[in-house]
Amino acid sequence: MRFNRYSALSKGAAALAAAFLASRAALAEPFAYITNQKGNSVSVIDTSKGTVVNTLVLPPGSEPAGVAVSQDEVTVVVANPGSKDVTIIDGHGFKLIGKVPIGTGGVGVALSTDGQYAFAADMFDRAIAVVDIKAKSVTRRIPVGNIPSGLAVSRDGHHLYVSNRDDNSVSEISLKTFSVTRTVAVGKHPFGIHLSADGTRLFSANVESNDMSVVNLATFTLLKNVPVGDRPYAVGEAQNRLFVTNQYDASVSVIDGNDLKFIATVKVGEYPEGISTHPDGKQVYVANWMGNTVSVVDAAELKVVNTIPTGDGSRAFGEFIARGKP
Amino acid sequence: MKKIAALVSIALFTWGSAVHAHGGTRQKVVESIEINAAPDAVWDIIKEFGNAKWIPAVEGTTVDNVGDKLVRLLTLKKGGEIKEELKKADAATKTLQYRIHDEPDCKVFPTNNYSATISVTPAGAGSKVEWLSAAYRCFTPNNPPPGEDEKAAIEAMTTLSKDALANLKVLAEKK
Repeated sequence: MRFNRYSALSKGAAALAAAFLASRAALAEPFAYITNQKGNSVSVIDTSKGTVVNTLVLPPGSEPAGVAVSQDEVTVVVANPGSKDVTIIDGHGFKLIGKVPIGTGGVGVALSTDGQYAFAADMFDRAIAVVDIKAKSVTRRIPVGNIPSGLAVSRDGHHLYVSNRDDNSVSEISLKTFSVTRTVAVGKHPFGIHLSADGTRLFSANVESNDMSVVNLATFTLLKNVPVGDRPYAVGEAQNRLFVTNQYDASVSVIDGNDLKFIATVKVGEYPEGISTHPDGKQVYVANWMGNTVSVVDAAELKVVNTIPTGDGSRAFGEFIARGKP
Repeated sequence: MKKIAALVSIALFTWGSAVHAHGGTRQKVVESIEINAAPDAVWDIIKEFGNAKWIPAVEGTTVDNVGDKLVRLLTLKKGGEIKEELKKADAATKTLQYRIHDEPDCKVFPTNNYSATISVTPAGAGSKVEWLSAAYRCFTPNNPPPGEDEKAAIEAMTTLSKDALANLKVLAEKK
């Protein structure tokens, strides 16, 4: 009897320890959440294994495109331009926990640094909807430019940035006043945007001018437009290099972070779109929309080290791997 | 007068950018066919961008240089035109890649931002031809009417590539 109780207790302790280890492992080796626009699903890649370990099924017609992951990986938000809403996902339990309608819908989505709010582009209504994750409702709307597309939150959590695709501009939004504070003209049809790891610059992939704009965040002025490949879509960063997906070239352009000069072109799958950096800073993950795969690129060696089959129409527009705690 | 000119130029600019914009999400169609003919023989039929008569929907093709682009004008049997520009015709990989040059009439080819990649690879003793198509719906603002929505874009791309590949098989196997 006594022995049994001891055994039960130790079992409980072992389970607790295992759960603790599992959550630690999850944080050390994060997941990549890949939206499959045609397959209406989200493929969850365990980056330590390099394979899909779970597939979350969304309602038909959702067309999931945008994605954001909270720093602690607890919350994942997916933007569905088809069903004009966002899906809130429990990032640890891999469960859909709610959805919130977003006006005309959109693809861009980002999370506040504390993971409590999602910012979702309402593409045809020149606005960003602020979604309270707990309440599962839109608490306010921020007026922005025409066809808001890519979104990014500063690491200090004070600012939100948005590319206004059809205005050829990027705006800075104060998350204290929830209004646009500054706007800068960039290349033609900016889509994906990225904030540099050191917080000094913003990059936009300009779909129609085949270049990447570099914006000085302190002065909010355009530093340079750097030529990249054909129909660039989004920007990632690793090893002090910028990685730009080129949809029509099935490639990634690699640009030096210091002198902004071209380094190399890396071939990936057909129609590469979303791109995110593994928090170890060694690899970037690229979602191939036509290829239905994710290419894992070694950021130092500049070669594809793994190609992971995902779902139909992998788009993964946004930061689809948790950054980890600062 | 100056004010009017400025207003007109703003209006033109807005209209101009609206033409290039797109709505909804990009759609894709992947069609492929196996052909009992060598890849070289199949490639020979499709490699000339300026000759699209192997595509059954096409009545005639004219080709022209626009800037540094090779642009072809397809006149269709059912009426209407499609203007496309070549990205690459690569003999090494037997890949033809092109995109729309001027956005088409929604009644002719209900797509926006159309792009295509056709490739020939060896398959057994013969070939496999794959045609990748991608486009947004023709109606770029919100709430598209029927015939200009995603469904129409997918149908148009499917019909075009499916019929063309079936005809390519007939042409290549006849040789």
